[in-house]
Amino acid sequence: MSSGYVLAGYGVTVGSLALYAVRVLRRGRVLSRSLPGDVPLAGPASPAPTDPPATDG
Amino acid sequence: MTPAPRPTASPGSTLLGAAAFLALATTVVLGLRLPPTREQGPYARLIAIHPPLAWAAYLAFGVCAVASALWLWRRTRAPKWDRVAAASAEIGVVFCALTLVTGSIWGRPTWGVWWTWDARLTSTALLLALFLGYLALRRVAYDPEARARRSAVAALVAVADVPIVHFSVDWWRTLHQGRSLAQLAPQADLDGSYVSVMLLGLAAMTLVYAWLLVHRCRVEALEARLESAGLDVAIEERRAEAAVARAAS
Repeated sequence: MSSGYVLAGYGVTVGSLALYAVRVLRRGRVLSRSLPGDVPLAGPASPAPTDPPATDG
Repeated sequence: MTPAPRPTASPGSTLLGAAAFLALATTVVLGLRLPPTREQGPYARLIAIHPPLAWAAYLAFGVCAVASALWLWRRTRAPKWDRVAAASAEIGVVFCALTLVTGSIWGRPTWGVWWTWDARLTSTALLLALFLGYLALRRVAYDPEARARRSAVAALVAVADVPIVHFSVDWWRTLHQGRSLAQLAPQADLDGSYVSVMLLGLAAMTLVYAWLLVHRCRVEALEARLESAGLDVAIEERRAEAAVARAAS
Protein backbone atom coordinates (compact mmCIF):
# COMPACT_ATOMS: atom_id res chain seq x y z
CA MET A 1 0.00 0.00 0.00
CA SER A 2 1.43 3.36 -1.02
CA SER A 3 1.47 6.19 1.49
CA GLY A 4 -0.48 9.39 1.05
CA TYR A 5 2.72 11.30 0.25
CA VAL A 6 3.55 8.96 -2.62
CA LEU A 7 0.02 9.12 -4.02
CA ALA A 8 0.07 12.91 -3.67
CA GLY A 9 3.36 13.10 -5.60
CA TYR A 10 2.07 10.98 -8.45
CA GLY A 11 -1.34 12.69 -8.44
CA VAL A 12 0.06 16.22 -8.55
CA THR A 13 2.41 15.26 -11.40
CA VAL A 14 -0.12 13.49 -13.61
CA GLY A 15 -2.89 16.00 -12.83
CA SER A 16 -0.75 19.06 -13.52
CA LEU A 17 0.64 17.67 -16.77
CA ALA A 18 -2.86 16.73 -17.93
CA LEU A 19 -4.22 20.19 -17.09
CA TYR A 20 -1.35 21.90 -18.89
CA ALA A 21 -1.79 19.67 -21.97
CA VAL A 22 -5.53 20.46 -22.10
CA ARG A 23 -4.75 24.18 -21.78
CA VAL A 24 -2.27 24.05 -24.69
CA LEU A 25 -4.67 22.07 -26.91
CA ARG A 26 -7.56 24.40 -26.09
CA ARG A 27 -5.45 27.48 -26.82
CA GLY A 28 -4.52 26.01 -30.21
CA ARG A 29 -8.17 25.32 -31.00
CA VAL A 30 -9.26 28.83 -30.03
CA LEU A 31 -6.47 30.44 -32.07
CA SER A 32 -7.14 28.31 -35.13
CA ARG A 33 -10.79 29.42 -35.04
CA SER A 34 -9.76 33.06 -34.80
CA LEU A 35 -7.59 32.98 -37.94
CA PRO A 36 -8.93 33.48 -41.46
CA GLY A 37 -9.63 30.12 -43.07
CA ASP A 38 -7.19 30.51 -45.97
CA VAL A 39 -4.07 30.83 -43.82
CA PRO A 40 -2.33 27.43 -43.60
CA LEU A 41 -0.80 26.43 -40.26
CA ALA A 42 2.59 25.42 -41.63
CA GLY A 43 2.67 27.63 -44.75
CA PRO A 44 4.55 30.87 -45.37
CA ALA A 45 3.57 34.04 -43.55
CA SER A 46 0.89 36.19 -45.15
CA PRO A 47 2.36 38.49 -47.85
CA ALA A 48 2.74 42.19 -47.26
CA PRO A 49 -0.28 44.18 -48.48
CA THR A 50 0.20 45.88 -51.82
CA ASP A 51 -0.54 49.56 -52.35
CA PRO A 52 -4.11 50.31 -53.42
CA PRO A 53 -4.58 51.71 -56.94
CA ALA A 54 -4.27 55.48 -57.13
CA THR A 55 -7.61 57.30 -57.15
CA ASP A 56 -8.35 60.51 -58.99
CA GLY A 57 -9.49 63.52 -57.06
CA MET B 1 -19.58 30.98 -42.51
CA THR B 2 -17.27 29.95 -39.68
CA PRO B 3 -13.92 28.68 -40.99
CA ALA B 4 -13.04 25.09 -40.14
CA PRO B 5 -10.79 24.96 -37.07
CA ARG B 6 -7.24 23.76 -37.69
CA PRO B 7 -6.18 21.95 -34.52
CA THR B 8 -2.49 21.72 -33.64
CA ALA B 9 -2.50 17.91 -33.91
CA SER B 10 -1.09 15.91 -36.83
CA PRO B 11 -0.82 12.12 -37.35
CA GLY B 12 2.78 12.25 -36.10
CA SER B 13 1.94 14.22 -32.96
CA THR B 14 -1.01 11.92 -32.24
CA LEU B 15 1.33 8.93 -32.37
CA LEU B 16 3.82 10.74 -30.15
CA GLY B 17 1.03 11.62 -27.72
CA ALA B 18 -0.14 8.00 -27.55
CA ALA B 19 3.42 6.82 -26.85
CA ALA B 20 3.85 9.49 -24.15
CA PHE B 21 0.55 8.57 -22.50
CA LEU B 22 1.37 4.85 -22.54
CA ALA B 23 4.86 5.41 -21.14
CA LEU B 24 3.59 7.73 -18.40
CA ALA B 25 0.74 5.39 -17.43
CA THR B 26 3.16 2.43 -17.25
CA THR B 27 5.58 4.49 -15.13
CA VAL B 28 2.80 5.35 -12.68
CA VAL B 29 1.57 1.75 -12.40
CA LEU B 30 5.04 0.24 -12.00
CA GLY B 31 6.28 3.10 -9.81
CA LEU B 32 3.48 2.63 -7.30
CA ARG B 33 4.24 -1.10 -7.14
CA LEU B 34 7.96 -0.73 -6.36
CA PRO B 35 9.03 -2.56 -3.18
CA PRO B 36 9.65 -0.33 -0.12
CA THR B 37 13.31 0.28 0.70
CA ARG B 38 14.99 -0.18 4.08
CA GLU B 39 16.05 3.49 4.34
CA GLN B 40 13.02 5.33 2.99
CA GLY B 41 10.20 2.79 3.08
CA PRO B 42 7.46 3.46 0.50
CA TYR B 43 8.60 7.06 -0.16
CA ALA B 44 11.43 5.81 -2.41
CA ARG B 45 8.71 5.09 -4.99
CA LEU B 46 8.80 8.77 -5.87
CA ILE B 47 12.10 8.06 -7.65
CA ALA B 48 10.08 7.03 -10.71
CA ILE B 49 8.81 10.59 -11.25
CA HIS B 50 10.94 13.12 -9.33
CA PRO B 51 14.33 12.68 -11.12
CA PRO B 52 12.60 12.29 -14.54
CA LEU B 53 10.75 15.59 -13.95
CA ALA B 54 14.08 17.29 -13.17
CA TRP B 55 15.61 15.75 -16.30
CA ALA B 56 12.72 17.05 -18.44
CA ALA B 57 13.21 20.53 -16.97
CA TYR B 58 16.96 20.41 -17.82
CA LEU B 59 16.07 19.24 -21.34
CA ALA B 60 13.47 21.97 -21.86
CA PHE B 61 15.77 24.75 -20.64
CA GLY B 62 18.64 23.31 -22.70
CA VAL B 63 16.51 23.32 -25.87
CA CYS B 64 15.42 26.87 -25.04
CA ALA B 65 19.08 27.94 -24.78
CA VAL B 66 20.09 26.20 -28.03
CA ALA B 67 17.15 27.73 -29.91
CA SER B 68 18.03 31.15 -28.45
CA ALA B 69 21.65 30.78 -29.58
CA LEU B 70 20.45 29.80 -33.06
CA TRP B 71 18.30 32.92 -33.17
CA LEU B 72 21.18 35.15 -32.02
CA TRP B 73 23.57 33.71 -34.63
CA ARG B 74 22.96 35.67 -37.84
CA ARG B 75 23.47 32.67 -40.15
CA THR B 76 20.68 30.65 -38.54
CA ARG B 77 18.42 33.50 -37.41
CA ALA B 78 14.77 32.63 -38.09
CA PRO B 79 11.51 33.38 -36.23
CA LYS B 80 10.97 29.67 -35.62
CA TRP B 81 13.91 29.54 -33.19
CA ASP B 82 12.36 32.28 -31.09
CA ARG B 83 9.09 30.34 -31.04
CA VAL B 84 10.85 27.09 -30.07
CA ALA B 85 12.68 28.92 -27.25
CA ALA B 86 9.46 30.45 -25.90
CA ALA B 87 7.56 27.17 -26.08
CA SER B 88 10.33 25.14 -24.47
CA ALA B 89 10.86 27.65 -21.65
CA GLU B 90 7.17 27.54 -20.69
CA ILE B 91 7.15 23.73 -20.63
CA GLY B 92 10.40 23.78 -18.66
CA VAL B 93 8.79 26.01 -16.04
CA VAL B 94 5.99 23.46 -15.61
CA PHE B 95 8.48 20.60 -15.19
CA CYS B 96 10.71 22.63 -12.86
CA ALA B 97 7.76 23.61 -10.63
CA LEU B 98 6.67 19.96 -10.49
CA THR B 99 10.23 18.95 -9.58
CA LEU B 100 10.11 21.30 -6.60
CA VAL B 101 6.61 20.17 -5.55
CA THR B 102 7.37 16.44 -5.75
CA GLY B 103 10.71 17.02 -4.01
CA SER B 104 8.91 18.83 -1.23
CA ILE B 105 6.38 15.99 -0.92
CA TRP B 106 9.29 13.52 -0.75
CA GLY B 107 11.21 15.68 1.73
CA ARG B 108 8.42 16.01 4.29
CA PRO B 109 8.35 12.33 5.43
CA THR B 110 12.07 11.63 4.88
CA TRP B 111 13.72 14.86 6.11
CA GLY B 112 10.86 16.06 8.33
CA VAL B 113 10.48 19.40 6.51
CA TRP B 114 8.65 20.61 3.40
CA TRP B 115 11.47 22.99 2.51
CA THR B 116 15.04 23.75 3.53
CA TRP B 117 17.56 26.20 2.09
CA ASP B 118 19.71 23.37 0.81
CA ALA B 119 22.02 24.06 -2.19
CA ARG B 120 20.09 21.75 -4.54
CA LEU B 121 16.68 23.12 -3.55
CA THR B 122 17.78 26.74 -3.56
CA SER B 123 19.50 26.54 -6.97
CA THR B 124 16.41 24.79 -8.41
CA ALA B 125 14.13 27.51 -7.01
CA LEU B 126 16.47 30.10 -8.53
CA LEU B 127 16.26 28.28 -11.89
CA LEU B 128 12.46 28.45 -11.73
CA ALA B 129 12.58 32.16 -10.85
CA LEU B 130 15.00 32.89 -13.70
CA PHE B 131 12.78 31.26 -16.32
CA LEU B 132 9.65 32.85 -14.88
CA GLY B 133 11.51 36.12 -15.38
CA TYR B 134 12.29 35.03 -18.95
CA LEU B 135 8.58 34.45 -19.63
CA ALA B 136 7.73 37.83 -18.08
CA LEU B 137 10.37 39.52 -20.25
CA ARG B 138 8.76 38.07 -23.36
CA ARG B 139 5.59 39.98 -22.53
CA VAL B 140 7.33 43.35 -22.16
CA ALA B 141 8.73 44.25 -25.60
CA TYR B 142 6.17 44.87 -28.34
CA ASP B 143 8.57 44.77 -31.28
CA PRO B 144 9.08 41.05 -32.13
CA GLU B 145 12.75 41.58 -33.07
CA ALA B 146 13.61 43.33 -29.79
CA ARG B 147 11.62 40.78 -27.82
CA ALA B 148 13.43 37.86 -29.45
CA ARG B 149 16.87 39.43 -28.93
CA ARG B 150 16.34 40.33 -25.26
CA SER B 151 14.78 37.00 -24.37
CA ALA B 152 17.49 35.03 -26.21
CA VAL B 153 20.18 36.75 -24.14
CA ALA B 154 18.13 36.18 -20.96
CA ALA B 155 17.75 32.47 -21.77
CA LEU B 156 21.52 32.06 -22.21
CA VAL B 157 22.11 33.73 -18.84
CA ALA B 158 19.39 31.70 -17.08
CA VAL B 159 20.52 28.33 -18.44
CA ALA B 160 23.89 28.77 -16.71
CA ASP B 161 22.09 27.73 -13.52
CA VAL B 162 21.34 24.23 -14.90
CA PRO B 163 24.87 22.79 -14.29
CA ILE B 164 24.90 24.51 -10.89
CA VAL B 165 21.67 22.69 -9.97
CA HIS B 166 22.95 19.38 -11.29
CA PHE B 167 26.35 19.43 -9.60
CA SER B 168 25.26 21.26 -6.44
CA VAL B 169 25.13 17.96 -4.53
CA ASP B 170 28.81 17.37 -5.39
CA TRP B 171 30.04 20.92 -4.88
CA TRP B 172 28.36 21.61 -1.54
CA ARG B 173 27.44 19.53 1.48
CA THR B 174 23.69 19.16 1.09
CA LEU B 175 20.78 17.42 2.73
CA HIS B 176 19.69 16.22 -0.69
CA GLN B 177 20.89 12.79 -1.71
CA GLY B 178 23.50 12.40 -4.47
CA ARG B 179 22.68 12.70 -8.15
CA SER B 180 19.89 10.25 -8.98
CA LEU B 181 21.14 9.84 -12.53
CA ALA B 182 24.42 8.46 -11.09
CA GLN B 183 22.34 5.59 -9.68
CA LEU B 184 21.96 4.31 -13.25
CA ALA B 185 25.67 3.35 -13.34
CA PRO B 186 26.32 -0.42 -13.17
CA GLN B 187 28.34 -0.16 -9.91
CA ALA B 188 25.54 1.74 -8.12
CA ASP B 189 23.75 -0.09 -5.31
CA LEU B 190 20.21 0.76 -6.45
CA ASP B 191 17.89 -2.22 -6.89
CA GLY B 192 17.34 -3.31 -10.50
CA SER B 193 13.60 -2.72 -10.43
CA TYR B 194 14.17 0.88 -9.30
CA VAL B 195 16.67 1.46 -12.12
CA SER B 196 14.24 0.05 -14.72
CA VAL B 197 11.31 2.15 -13.55
CA MET B 198 13.44 5.30 -13.30
CA LEU B 199 14.68 4.70 -16.87
CA LEU B 200 11.07 4.24 -17.99
CA GLY B 201 10.16 7.46 -16.18
CA LEU B 202 12.98 9.31 -17.97
CA ALA B 203 11.70 8.04 -21.32
CA ALA B 204 8.09 8.92 -20.41
CA MET B 205 8.92 12.50 -19.37
CA THR B 206 11.04 12.96 -22.52
CA LEU B 207 8.10 11.84 -24.67
CA VAL B 208 5.65 14.06 -22.75
CA TYR B 209 8.04 17.00 -23.20
CA ALA B 210 8.40 16.30 -26.96
CA TRP B 211 4.63 16.07 -27.42
CA LEU B 212 4.00 19.27 -25.47
CA LEU B 213 6.74 21.04 -27.42
CA VAL B 214 5.21 20.12 -30.79
CA HIS B 215 1.80 21.47 -29.77
CA ARG B 216 3.13 24.51 -27.95
CA CYS B 217 5.30 25.48 -30.97
CA ARG B 218 2.24 25.26 -33.22
CA VAL B 219 0.34 27.48 -30.79
CA GLU B 220 3.22 29.99 -30.97
CA ALA B 221 3.03 29.87 -34.78
CA LEU B 222 -0.73 30.48 -34.68
CA GLU B 223 -0.25 33.44 -32.33
CA ALA B 224 2.34 34.91 -34.71
CA ARG B 225 -0.08 34.47 -37.63
CA LEU B 226 -2.89 36.07 -35.68
CA GLU B 227 -0.66 39.00 -34.73
CA SER B 228 0.35 39.40 -38.38
CA ALA B 229 -3.26 39.07 -39.59
CA GLY B 230 -4.38 41.71 -37.06
CA LEU B 231 -1.67 44.05 -38.33
CA ASP B 232 -2.76 43.47 -41.95
CA VAL B 233 -6.37 44.31 -41.06
CA ALA B 234 -5.29 47.49 -39.25
CA ILE B 235 -3.22 48.61 -42.27
CA GLU B 236 -6.13 47.94 -44.64
CA GLU B 237 -8.46 49.95 -42.40
CA ARG B 238 -6.07 52.92 -42.33
CA ARG B 239 -5.71 52.76 -46.14
CA ALA B 240 -9.48 52.69 -46.57
CA GLU B 241 -9.81 55.71 -44.24
CA ALA B 242 -7.14 57.57 -46.23
CA ALA B 243 -8.86 56.76 -49.54
CA VAL B 244 -12.19 58.06 -48.17
CA ALA B 245 -10.51 61.25 -46.93
CA ARG B 246 -8.84 61.79 -50.31
CA ALA B 247 -12.12 61.25 -52.15
CA ALA B 248 -13.91 63.72 -49.90
CA SER B 249 -11.28 66.47 -50.34
